[in-house]
Amino acid sequence: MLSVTTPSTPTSVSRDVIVRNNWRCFRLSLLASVWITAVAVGFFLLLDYKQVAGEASTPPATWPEQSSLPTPAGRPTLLVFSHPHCPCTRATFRELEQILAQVHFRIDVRVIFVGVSDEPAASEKISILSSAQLPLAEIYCDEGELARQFRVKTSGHVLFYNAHGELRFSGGVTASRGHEGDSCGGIALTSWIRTGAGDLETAPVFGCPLFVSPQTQGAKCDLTSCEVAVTGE
Amino acid sequence: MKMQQELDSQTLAECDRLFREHQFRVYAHTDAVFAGLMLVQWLGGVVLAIWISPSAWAGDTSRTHPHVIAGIILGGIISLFPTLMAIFFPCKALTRHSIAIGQAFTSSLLIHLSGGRIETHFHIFGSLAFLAFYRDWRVLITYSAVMAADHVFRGLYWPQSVYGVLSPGIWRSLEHASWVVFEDVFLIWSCFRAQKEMREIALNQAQLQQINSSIEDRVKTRTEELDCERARVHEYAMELEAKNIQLDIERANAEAANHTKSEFLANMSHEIRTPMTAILGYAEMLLEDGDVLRAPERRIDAIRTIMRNGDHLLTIINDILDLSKIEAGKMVVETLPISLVQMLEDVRSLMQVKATAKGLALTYRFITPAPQVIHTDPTRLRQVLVNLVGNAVKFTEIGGVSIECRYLESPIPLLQFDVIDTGVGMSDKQLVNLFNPFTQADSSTTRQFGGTGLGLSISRRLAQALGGDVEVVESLPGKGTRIRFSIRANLAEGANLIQPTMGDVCVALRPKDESERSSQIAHLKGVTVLLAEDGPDNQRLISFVLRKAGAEVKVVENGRLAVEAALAAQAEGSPFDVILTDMQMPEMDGYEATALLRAENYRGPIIALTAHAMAGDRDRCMAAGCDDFATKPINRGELIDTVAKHALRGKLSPQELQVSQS
Repeated sequence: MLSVTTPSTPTSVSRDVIVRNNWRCFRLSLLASVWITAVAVGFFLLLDYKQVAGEASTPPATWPEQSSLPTPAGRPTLLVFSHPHCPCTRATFRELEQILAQVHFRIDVRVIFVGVSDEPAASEKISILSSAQLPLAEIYCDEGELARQFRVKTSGHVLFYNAHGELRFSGGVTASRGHEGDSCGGIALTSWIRTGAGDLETAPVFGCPLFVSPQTQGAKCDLTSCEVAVTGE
Repeated sequence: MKMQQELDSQTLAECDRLFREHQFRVYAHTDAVFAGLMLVQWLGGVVLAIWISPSAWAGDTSRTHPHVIAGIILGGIISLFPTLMAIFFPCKALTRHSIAIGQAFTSSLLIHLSGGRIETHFHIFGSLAFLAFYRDWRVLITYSAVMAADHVFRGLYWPQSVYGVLSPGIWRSLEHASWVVFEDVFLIWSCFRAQKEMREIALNQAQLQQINSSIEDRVKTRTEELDCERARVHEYAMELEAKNIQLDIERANAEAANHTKSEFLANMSHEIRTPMTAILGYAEMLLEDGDVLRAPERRIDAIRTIMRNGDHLLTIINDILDLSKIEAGKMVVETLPISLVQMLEDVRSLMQVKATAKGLALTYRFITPAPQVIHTDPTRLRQVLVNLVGNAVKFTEIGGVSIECRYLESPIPLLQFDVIDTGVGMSDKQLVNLFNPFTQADSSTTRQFGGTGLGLSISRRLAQALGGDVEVVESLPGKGTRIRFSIRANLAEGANLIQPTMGDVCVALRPKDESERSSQIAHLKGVTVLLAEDGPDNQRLISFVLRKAGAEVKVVENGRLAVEAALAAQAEGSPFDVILTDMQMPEMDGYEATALLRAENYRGPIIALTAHAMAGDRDRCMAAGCDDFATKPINRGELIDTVAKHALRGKLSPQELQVSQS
């Protein structure tokens, strides 16, 4: 591995050596500062990427009647739209798992994988993946139709319809791309589930776009207000 | 205690040095480990990103996920600087602080790459624990500061990324902070502990070194001392050896000197006695000459004077030789069974003449029951008794000398002879030097009484040799003296005791007169004697004596001639009855001649003429093959008796021999 050399402790040091030492220290400190700056820049870029939310959209406020999905049978329904390969959506699932664990009443949970063919191999993989994370969830494979029906554009988009079919929550439940932890969306959803009342809450979705789209708009999750600047369609 | 202070400061300086060395070793080692860890983490981050989020999607299209790029590039940048610092500038403070910062960045990156998994947050606590390896608490602070800064900055720009909502966020962040602070506190404490221990170790090492070096010094000193000692001991040994060698030489010299002295004694004894024999013998011969009675009184007196002085001289010589023998420790004491009564009788008969001449009574008696037979040296016993009785007779004018014999059983068995005289006695002053050799009671004694002054000292030595002593019991001037002579009484088993009887006083026998002598003269009629003697005077003397006694004498002057003559006579069928041989002759001495004859199966009696110097001489004579011995100076009567005995033995049958001997 590396060879370790123990420098001897200086006993008597001449002025030249001291000056040289000081100059060297200065150079090294300079280098360290450059390094820290580079790292900081790197982190900045990374975090920036992670904070970019998916394209905003307006899902239907009530359950669309023409939907291919079966109508909720008088129970609140949770829909999760996920890209089959998006890694960030794992965090969404994990968050949902935690949130749903606090629920005492029955909710229909439906996971829709968008852009997945009906290949058995692929669907098997997916079902294993999702069943591990969200038990009792119904899995649907969608080629894009359902996503368009519900006007969902980003992987990890969660739609919560109450028992009457009214949209109560739309958005993501993660604070940044693929990042577990508390988020505006998560908190909002949780509070609705607990209280059973509230207005429509929205939150930015951090995930891969479900469709290849020319633009993705950025949105930031702000501490002070959990409202999203939405650019209209 | 200045020494101690100096010692301490030296030890402390050494301690500091050792401590810093140890610290640097720790820094260097940990830097190396972290350099490796950085690389591993970088790779780990890349692997993590590829595993979790390999691609970012938009519908069907995918591209490499920015996480992967971030993992590779940002991860690389994060790891690069600290690793290079660790390789090129190990142990520097900047190195480990940059490592701490890099580690903090790595924690952050990994958390982001793993999607904020709660488990990835453990990397923070792990990193803190690893950083504690430095045992430098500042490094922990650096790391914690970076994490805090990260939260602050992110909170400012992207608050949601840290903790979704403000209010619970505060508590959340406080919770996070408190966990980190918790670990920090313990780790910082352990860093201090570790530093303290390192200091202790360094101090111990320094002290140990100190002790070791002082021990080494001492060992060196001791070794030097030991070497000195060893050298000295070696010197002593050499000296001792030299001395030993010298002692050996001296001992050899002493032994040689002793040997020389003994030989001298033996030779002198012979050399002196031989002429004495001649002097006395011829003087006697003169007196016996038939015509001597017709000679003028003057002449007879002269001859008597010669004899008297010769006797005296002989006595002196004998005494001197005896004393020399005793001094040289050459006195050998025999142990033979002797009859006590016979001994006393012998003594009495020896001294009778002188006693009667002075008109003194001479008696002996037993006071207590005494053993019939005792084991002692008869010659010495006789010598002492003769000396004591002789002295008593010499110093007494009127009255008599008596011998009292006592046997004492305890504490040790002793035989005691008290010689009592009614003579001149001795004063206390005279008693003091009595037993010293060559001193008589006083100088007038020699003039008045004669004597050598040796007798008593010799007597005492002899008595001591016999296990007893000689002492003066009492002596009163004008009244008399009682001298006590005692010897160890070695008895035979179941010895008979002589009972003392009243009036057991033996009356003096008739003094011998010259007529008795002549009755022995015709003893040796018809006896042939071969005499081997080298001295012409002794030749004439001895042959005269023998012829006077009626024997036929052939004289030869050395051993070889003696052997030839003896063998020749034997071969002719008329062997000599007796061979008389002097033991010291030129060419071939008596021992050799005797041995030769015996080797030739010569069975005839051979009598040795010895100077009687040492008891060993007698043994040698017997060992050589002699049958008997006669002493020199010759005692006429004894010589004739001895020759007659042996000549008769040859002539008589065994029965007759027994009768004649009884």
